[in-house]
Formats: sequence, structure tokens, C-alpha cells
Amino acid sequence: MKFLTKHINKVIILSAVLLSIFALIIVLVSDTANANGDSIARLNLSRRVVDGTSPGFSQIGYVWLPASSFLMLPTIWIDWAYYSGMSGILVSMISYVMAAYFVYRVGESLGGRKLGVIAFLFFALNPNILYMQATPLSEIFYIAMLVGAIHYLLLWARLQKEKELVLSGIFFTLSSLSRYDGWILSLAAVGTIVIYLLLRRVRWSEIEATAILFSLLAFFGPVLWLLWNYTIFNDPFYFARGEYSAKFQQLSLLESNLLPSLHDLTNTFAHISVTSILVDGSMLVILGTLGAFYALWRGVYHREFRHFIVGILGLQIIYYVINLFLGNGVIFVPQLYPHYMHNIRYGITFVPFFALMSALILVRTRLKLLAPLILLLVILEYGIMFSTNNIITLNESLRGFAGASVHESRKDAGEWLESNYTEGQIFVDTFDNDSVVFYSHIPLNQWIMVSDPDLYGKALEDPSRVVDWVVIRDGDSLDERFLGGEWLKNSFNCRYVKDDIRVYQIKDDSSDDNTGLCADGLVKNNSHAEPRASL
Amino acid sequence: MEYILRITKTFRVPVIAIQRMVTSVYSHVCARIHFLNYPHRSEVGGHDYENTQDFLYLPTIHSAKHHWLPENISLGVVVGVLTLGLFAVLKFVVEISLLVFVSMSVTLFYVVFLVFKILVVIRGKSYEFIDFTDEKIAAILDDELPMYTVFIPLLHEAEVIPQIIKGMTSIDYPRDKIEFLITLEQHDIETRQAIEEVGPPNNFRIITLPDIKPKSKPKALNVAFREARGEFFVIYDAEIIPDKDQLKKAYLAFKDNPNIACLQTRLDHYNANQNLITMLFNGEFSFHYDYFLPGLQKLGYPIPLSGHSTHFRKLVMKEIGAWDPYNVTEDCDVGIRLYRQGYETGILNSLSQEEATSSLAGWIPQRTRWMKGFIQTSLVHLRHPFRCKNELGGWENFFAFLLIVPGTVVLNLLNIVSWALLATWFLTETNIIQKLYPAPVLYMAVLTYIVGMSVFAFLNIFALYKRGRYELVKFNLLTPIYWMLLAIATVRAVVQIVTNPHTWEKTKHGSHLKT
Repeated sequence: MKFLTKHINKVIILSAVLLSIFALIIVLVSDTANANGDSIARLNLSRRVVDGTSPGFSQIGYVWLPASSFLMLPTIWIDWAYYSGMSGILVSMISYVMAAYFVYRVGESLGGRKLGVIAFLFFALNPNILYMQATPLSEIFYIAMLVGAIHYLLLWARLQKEKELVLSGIFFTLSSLSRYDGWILSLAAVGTIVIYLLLRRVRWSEIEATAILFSLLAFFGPVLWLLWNYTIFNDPFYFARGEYSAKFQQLSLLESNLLPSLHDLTNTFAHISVTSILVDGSMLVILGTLGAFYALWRGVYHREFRHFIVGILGLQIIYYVINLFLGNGVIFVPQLYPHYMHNIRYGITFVPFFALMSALILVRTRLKLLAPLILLLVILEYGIMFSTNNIITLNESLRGFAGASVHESRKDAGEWLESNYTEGQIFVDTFDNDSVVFYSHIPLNQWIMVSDPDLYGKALEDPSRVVDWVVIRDGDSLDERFLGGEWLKNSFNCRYVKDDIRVYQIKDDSSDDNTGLCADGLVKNNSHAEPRASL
Repeated sequence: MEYILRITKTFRVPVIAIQRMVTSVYSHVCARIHFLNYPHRSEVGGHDYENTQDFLYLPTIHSAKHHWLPENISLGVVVGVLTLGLFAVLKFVVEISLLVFVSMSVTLFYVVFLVFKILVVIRGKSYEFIDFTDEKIAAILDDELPMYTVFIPLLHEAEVIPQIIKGMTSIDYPRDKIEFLITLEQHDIETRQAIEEVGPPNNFRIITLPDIKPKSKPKALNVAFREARGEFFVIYDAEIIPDKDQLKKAYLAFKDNPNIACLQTRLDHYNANQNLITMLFNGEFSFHYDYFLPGLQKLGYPIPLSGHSTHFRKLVMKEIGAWDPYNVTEDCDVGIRLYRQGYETGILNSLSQEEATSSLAGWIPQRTRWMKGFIQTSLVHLRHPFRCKNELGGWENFFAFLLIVPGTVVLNLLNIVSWALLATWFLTETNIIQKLYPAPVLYMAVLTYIVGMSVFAFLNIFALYKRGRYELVKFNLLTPIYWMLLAIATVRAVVQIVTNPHTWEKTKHGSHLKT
């Protein structure tokens, strides 16, 4: 026991590493690492920097924040790492270990080693966290950066050293470069720093200087992102109002009456509550909520400011409440209308807060008498989630809007191309079609996508002069541009059609005219109005 | 293993033969081409301490007396030809345009400069200033202290004379072991009168400078140098207020570190809050003295010294030929020369308070002089680049020198072009620039430039914060504007190096006394 206590940091890190590897093995065996369409899109985004018709950093994108794509770069050029998803998974796994360690350290700062260990267990054993850390998705990286930022902010508040303030700012900016939530939380952190120093009666010039120093770092990422958008599109907010922005996508949902939480507070709370319970587990949500009130009480009546600093993590929940209420974001849970699964994985960003608050109330109140029992119950709930295949983030990856089942047709088309592709450029609208590209195993420099605007524009004008293949999915921009394939009839043969995907190959003298193969697709195209096609 | 050895041996013979051939050709070329010969003919007689014509003790090859020697021209031609050759190769191989070549080179330069400065700063954090406890300083016996000379070069400084005398007399050092040598031009009647009015103690001596050119601070120092009796000496400018125990600390540092030839101190401004210029100046100095210089020290790179509050061993200074009266940043030149001759420098944890130039009319000429001096120093030390490389201790130190001295000038000049392009692009939203540059080059250039600018501005702010100068932090967000002024001064320096190379634009002190 003494050994464990003495080497607690190493034990925590080692436990996280082992858990991470264990979870990875399960995910790899079940072949679900890349089940989520967004995983594949992220891998492609990073790969395009090193492979494509116009490779380079400009391919890093402009809607999805770039941190995780950047971090995949050291390995994304290796085919094995790209196609297995390991490029992104490695980032997530390292992030998981960091996040788990930081959760422990924040818990330790909040109320000692025991609190830290319990918070670590609540966080690190959560099945949704464990699944997500074995995927290329960016949420775990965001959590690691955010909890790291809080850890250093707590240290700064205790030690008053510039180094910790700087590190906190850097972690906040990294979180802001992985999810937009980080921007709001960085703002909250500035406010917290100012209030903290005001309460300590520090002179105003020092408060002002501290806030400026911290903000310069914390908002460096967002400012760079605005400049990046401006550089490419002459609009710093293109990520928020461009054609691939979340807001733009929300509009199509609104038209289909699929934004039930828009301007409906009850519905919004219902969505957030159900998401929290599904992802974090009911025990953790109940305990965490009680813990949050307890922390508020400690902060206000006992002037223990560290509770407010940790409280920044809780603003993550409020951020989503506001987002859903204003219609800037969307989360669908199977229990509520429209009974789909979409973006439930965002709920894992609440786990660190609930884990820490739950640990707080277990260690610092009379509940500590029942702590072992409650700890056991929480872990039991995690176990039930695991054993009953009720890991919601995994289910969402398999059956959600961006899930494997929806992407099945893209995957099939990609695999067909892998077997039948001979040579020449392939024209595709990559939005929501990344799986076709990914599963075809055809080098990205053979694909003409919107990421190369010059070639893309030329191909749109007259595809027969630029490309040999065209991939069309019902409702995508090429489908609309080429009137459901009608436009391609003179120059291309339809070689493949399945569900909503068609593949055309340019005609040559020897080829048969298979245009009729796609007749069904043409009919479908004229009648499609499925909402999920627009997601 | 045996096989490898055999192969190595087999190849060793031709390699040695090629080496010998190259060396032979090189020495033949050197023997026939005068300007590649070194030591230079002006070095044959060594230092000339009898020269009272212009008080240049150094061989002319180490002086900025003449800027465009054949060595400089030949270097320019070689660099030009190599650059054009590289461009030609790239154009042939990857069909690169001149514009892309230039912008890629500029971006590469920015990246290298950024990485270099960040590395220096990171290493600077762990540098330990040379320091001594109060007890150790108090334990020094007066008898053991050596003679110390304080040089005070003055020109039209009547207003600050009372401040100088007060500051100097309050230095904690036995009166009979310290001498103050004030240099004055013959025509500077008002300063002479001001000194006489204050009536300084008898260890103050006025040295009247002969009325000969160049009229510069290093010439004044060279004149005074012949008169100095101290084993160590320090230069204090007109406006300096050093820590009282600085000389004793310097003595202990020299005693404990026999390898150190020169000690710098940390500088700060007593009028930092005076106006925006002084605030920005203070941010720049805080970074330079707290992070950049310590980083250079830690890494063992050549150091461009400060012009004042710098302590020297007199013997070493005599050995290296004292100052170059023609170099308008004689401090920078001495720093590099010391390093080339194998001497070390250190930083003393002692503060010297000075006056920050507080008006644009004073600041621009001061910076022009500094940048002009950096150009002069570059020209002088790059006359024999390979010799310079060898004397500096290898390629790493040579590249550090290139980045620190000529690199600073180049950076300031490139900034003007970058700002102009950036401003045109942002303000006019024109696509011209996007059409001129390939997208990847443009994005990288913009990113590097913005990241670099942000990092350096942040470092100034951080240094101020660390010094507790909180009230200045917000004003230092305007650091990029300060750099624009620096760029203007650098352009002036480039013009002056052609039109007016040796003119010393004097910095006026004492404006803080009026406010």
C-alpha cells in the first residue's frame, strides 16, 4: 500500500495505459474503431495533407477544428495506420491516458488523493470513454486538453507561478483547436481568473495583466482559426456560416421539423439529461449533480475558490443546453423524438465533471461511509453497460446518423471500386461520402474532391474532360449538378448501383452501354426526401 | 566488420587524394588572390596603440573604417551566384518561379529565426546569473580590491550631470581605488561647466578629446583607454544608475571566473512608464535581458554586448585591440571579437537603471545607429567567412552569429515587405496576391508570419509580467507597431551605410527630467 501511495502518479498512468490497451483490443476485435462515419472523415481530412491532387496544410479544412488532424500527421502517411484508423486511435489513446491522469490530479487538488483516485476510476472505467479512446474521433483529445487546462489553472491559483498560468493557457488553446466548446470555456476561465484575483484584493493592474497574458495564449488558437478561415474564404466566420457548417446543416433539419429542442427549454433539458445518463451512467449523473451543488456551497460559503475553477468543466453542460436551445447544435437520443441517435457522443465531455463532482461528494460528505458501496454500484452500472451492449457511443457509431449501417452503401461502393477500378481520376463530393474513398483503397491523388477547387470546378463544368469515374450518392451535390446522372449519359456508363450510390465510368469504344443500370437510381433521385440524406 | 573496414580503407585513399587536391587548389587560389589571404596584410603589425590619427588600434581588416573591401564584394558575388544557381536548379527540376523561390526563402528564414529564438529562450530559462550574497560582498576587504576605472563618455549632457555624479559617487567602492574618466569634446562647453558647477570629488577626471574624426563614442573610449589605470573597467553612459554594489560583484565574478573577460548586467528603465515608446522599449529590453541574452549565454553563442554597464578586464581589452572607432555599435563588434578570440562573457545579477528614449525623434536615430552598427559588424566579421566560422567554434555558432547580427537586420527589412503584402491582402481582399503565390506557400508564409509575430510579442509581454511591470502589459499588445518603427529605422540604416556610414546619431538624454 505504501508503495502504491508513494508511486501513485505512475500507478495511475500505468492503469490508464493498461485500460487503454485492453479497450483497444476489444474494439479492434469487434472491428468498430472506424464504425463512425466521422472517424473516416477525420482520417481522410488528415490524409489529404500528405496525399491528394493538391496536398499541403491547406487541406486541413475549415469547419472541423484542426488539432486532431494535425496530430495524426506523423503517422497518417503510413497506409496501415491510415486504413486501420491507428493514426487517430493513437492520438485518442495518448489523450485518454493524459485525461485520466489530469482527472486524478484535479481530484487531488480538489480534495486529496482519495478523491483523485475515485474520480480517476469513475472517469477511466466509463465504457463510453473507453470506446471513444479507441477511435480516431477528437472528443478524447478535447477532454484531455480541457482537464489539463483546469489542472494547471488550479495549480496556478495555489502557487501563483506564471508557468502554470502559461501552461493552462496553452492547454485551453489546444482544447479550442479541437472543439468549439473550448472557446466558450476559455472565456469562462478568463472570467474565473479575474474574479479570483479580485477576491484576493490584488491590484487592478496585476489582474488586468494576468487576464491579458492568459487570454493571449488561450485565444491564440481561436484567433488563428479565424485568420485561417479569412485567408481561405475571406470570411473569418466561414466555419460557422459556410455551406458545410453546422448551422447550414441545422437548417435542413429545421425544414424537416427535426429540431425538437429549438426554443424549447423542457425538451432541451430532456435531451441533455438523457444524453448524460446514457453516456455517463445514471449513478454518476445523480451523484455528480449533488456534488455540483455541494461544490457550489463550498465555494460560496467557505470561499474555497478551487471548486469554481473545477466548475468550469460543468459549463460544458450549460454550453450544450444553450446550443440546443438556440438550434446551433443537435443531439438526438433514441428515447425522445425523432428517436434517432446522433451526436450522443458529445455527452462524454460531461464525464470529467460528473466524475470529479461524484468523487467530491463521496469523499467530503457523510456519504463517505457508503463510498465503497456507491463506488461499487457505479462500476457495476458500467459493467452492465458493457455486458448488455449498451455502450451508447458504440451503438451510435453502428446505427446512428453517421453510423456504420447508414454508411454501409458507401462502404460497399468503395469495396466495389477497389475491385473494379482500373485507372483515371474519380470525381466525388466527399461530404458524407468519405467512406467510399476510404474503403476503395485508391490513393487520394486519384480523387477529385472539393478540397482541390480548381480541378473540382473544371470537373463540374465537364466531367468527361477531367475524370474517368464519377461517384454519385442520392442527394449529394453531384447528384443535383448532373440531374441524377442524366447529364452523364452521353459520356459515361453506369457501372455500379446499390442503394443510394451509383458509380459511372467514362465510355470508351469497347465498353458496353450500361446506362440502364442506373435507371432505378434516377427514379429514386427524383423522389428522395429522407432527412438523413442531408446529414 | 572486416569487409566494412576493407571498404573504408579502399575509399580512404581517393578521399584523401581529393581532399589534398582541393586544399592545394584552394591554397593556390588564396596565394594568388590577395583578398582571400589571411592573415590580412593590415594584421602584420598587430595592434597599433600609438595611432593618434583616428585612435584606431585595430588592423583595418577588423574595422568598419572601409566598408566595401574586396573581401566584402567577393562574398556578395559568391552568395549571389550561389543563390542564382540554386534558383536555376530548382527552376529546372521543379519549375519553380522566381516569386515562389523568393517567398519560400523568406518563409524558410522566418521559420528558422522563430525556431532559433524559441530555442534560445527555452535554454535561457535555466541560465543562472552570476550572483553573490550580501554577506559575501560585505566580507570583501578594501585592501584586496583592485583599481577600477569607470568610463563616462559624454556629449551635450549638461542636464543629467547632477544625476550622473550622484549615481557614480554612491557606488560602493573605496574612493582611492576607483577613477572616473569623463570624456568630453572640446566644443562641449555646457557639459564641462555643468560638471564644474557640481564639483565632483577628485577621483573624477575629465579627458578632452582631440578634435579629429570620427566623432564617436568608441573613439572617445579608445582615447580614455590609454589613460585608464584600472585592472578592470566599466562603461556607464550619461543616464545610468547602477546598483551600488555592482563593482564589487563584478570584482568577485572576475575573481571566481578567470575565463570570463567581460560581464554584462541586467538593464531596466527608470522612466518605463513615461509614454508609449518607453513602455514598448521596456518590454523589448525585459525580454532581451531576461531571456534572450541568458539563452545565448547558456548555449555558448556569440553575444552582441551592450554599450554600457559592461565590465571588462583591461588586459583582455588591450589584447583584442580595444574598440573600433568607426563602428557605431562598437559594443556588438567587441562582443563578437571577444568570442572569436576565445574569451567568455557572463551576466551579472545586478541591475543598471537607464533612461529609455522617450521620443520618436530620439528613438528612430538611436535604432538607426544600432542597425547601422549591426550592418557594419556583419560586414567586418564576414570578410573571411570561413575564418570567422573557425574562430567562432564551428558551423552552429557561425549560424547563430548570422541570425543574431545580420539576421536581425534582414528580419526587420523583410517585415516591411511582409506587412505590406499582408495589409494589402487583408484590406483590399484582393486576389492578386493569391494569384501570385501558390496556395501552400501563401498559407505557410501567412501562418509562419502571424505565429512568429504573436510568439515574439507574447515573449515581451511575458518578460514584463515576470518583472512585475503589470501596468505596461496592455500597452505592449502594440508591440507590432513598435516593430514597424524598427523596420523604418533599419531602412534608414541601410541608406546611411551608403550615404553616411560613420556618423554617430547621438541619443539625447534627460527628457524624463522635464516630465
